[in-house]
Amino acid sequence: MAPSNSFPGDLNEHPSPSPSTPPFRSSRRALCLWLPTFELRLELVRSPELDTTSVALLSSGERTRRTLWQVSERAYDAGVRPGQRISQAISLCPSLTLLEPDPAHYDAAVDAMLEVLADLAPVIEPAGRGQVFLGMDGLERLYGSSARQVERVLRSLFRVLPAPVVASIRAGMAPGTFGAWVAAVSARPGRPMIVSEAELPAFLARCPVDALPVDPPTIRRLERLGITLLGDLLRFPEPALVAQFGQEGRDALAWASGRRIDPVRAWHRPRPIRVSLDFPAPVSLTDTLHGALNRLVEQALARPARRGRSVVGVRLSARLEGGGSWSVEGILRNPTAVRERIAFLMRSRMALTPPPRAVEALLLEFFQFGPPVDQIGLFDRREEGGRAAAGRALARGEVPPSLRDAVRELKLRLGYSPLYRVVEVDPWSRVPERRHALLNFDP
Amino acid sequence: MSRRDPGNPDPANRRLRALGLPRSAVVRTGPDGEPAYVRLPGRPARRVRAIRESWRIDDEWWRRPISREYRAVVLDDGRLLTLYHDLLEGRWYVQKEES
Repeated sequence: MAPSNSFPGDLNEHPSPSPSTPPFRSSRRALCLWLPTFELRLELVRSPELDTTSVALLSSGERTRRTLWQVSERAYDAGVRPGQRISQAISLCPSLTLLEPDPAHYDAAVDAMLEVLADLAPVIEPAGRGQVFLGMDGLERLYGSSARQVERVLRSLFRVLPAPVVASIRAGMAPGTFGAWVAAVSARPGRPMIVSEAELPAFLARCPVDALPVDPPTIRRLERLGITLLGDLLRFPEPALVAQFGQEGRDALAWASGRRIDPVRAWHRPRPIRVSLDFPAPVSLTDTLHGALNRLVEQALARPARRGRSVVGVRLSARLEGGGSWSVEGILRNPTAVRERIAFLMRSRMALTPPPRAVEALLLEFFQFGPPVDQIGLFDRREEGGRAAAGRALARGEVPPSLRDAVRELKLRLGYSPLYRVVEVDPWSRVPERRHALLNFDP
Repeated sequence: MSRRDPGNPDPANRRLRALGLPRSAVVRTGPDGEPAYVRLPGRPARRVRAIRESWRIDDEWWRRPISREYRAVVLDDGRLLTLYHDLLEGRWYVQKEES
């Protein structure tokens, strides 16, 4: 085939990005803010009288044999550990105060914190409630040196978080999220750890291997082999680590040597749709809660802010009688905008983890969305609109009433039917454009 | 007065539309004659990262002959294109585009 077609001179005006160019909205230099036992600290701020006692926060999501989620330092000194059963913990520390988790309170604190941080750094990446990464590339022109940047970030948090919580934050700044995380773990509250690009390999070499984001069994195997520091890993050739640990061995070496730098990725959170319902009197009857849930799902689906999108992530929370909150969430395997499917998911979550007390108010939130699927309902024979009258199955070639109605409405509005049907013209043709055509659809 | 589709004002013309019609594309070939850069109308040029498949169609010699050399290519932004070189016209077209 002869080369052909002289190419216009503007071809190179749009060079493709080189593979080494970081993706849009990411940052190589990372600041990690780590708030250990963030939720428990929020509870202690809310109830200062508990500060001098042994306190433990119960884990949520269990009906029987509940375990501890987070424990205070006093409780820890008494031998109480996260994951212990209540009975075991009480036997170790009879004066232990147990607290029910209040997820709505914690989420509100995180939302406020992220809002403030988003004003300071263009790239933020939350990694759970008590951990967030900030992309710090280019901020030296705004805020000065690295130390001043960290100081500025921490100072801004005083506006939205209680002072004892901010004072307990550990901050670490380094190239890449792994380096920043290890720096934050090594830092002390109020004493940020800042690691430069040149210092990173030496800094990482001194850190314990359990900082690696690999499976715990891999960490245990490494320790059994006498590899306790990241620097110990560097003594081994890569093929030997890969032979022992597979891909995890290769990743571990890349992290330990500082060769692998994971940038902070911009966090995308669509604006959630929230609807709520206040009960005139606290409700504990399951049927009443299910009825309220159905209404809330209907209301949320009808919100114009949904803009036809399907729903993927749903959270149901409740304000409980006597204070506190309860929350469950679910991710739909198939994005949908059908009320019953969303309500079914939430009902099953409620059955697994029911509210511990009577409910004063119920709040439903759609926090993750999928592509629009509303039109699928027009063709789905399982849907009411996709079946013939009286629920009978449609005959072959029969147009569902929902589709007929849709065409009628469109014709009233536009004056013609803008819908087309794909028809076979010459399906076995070797010439692709001869195989199918669009035929105006006007039943 | 009802509103009309500005791109196709005559309702009679809306009855049947061909599907998958090829669109003209500007292609720069490399020394081996294979597509190296592709520019679709109104879009920036993209480098061809890989050629996945190639085949040839010669058909309808009895009425209006068709002779095309097809290439299924991957662009540097990850899109898949099916291009063909019309051997009678000497021009390139894009037949199918997948994201």
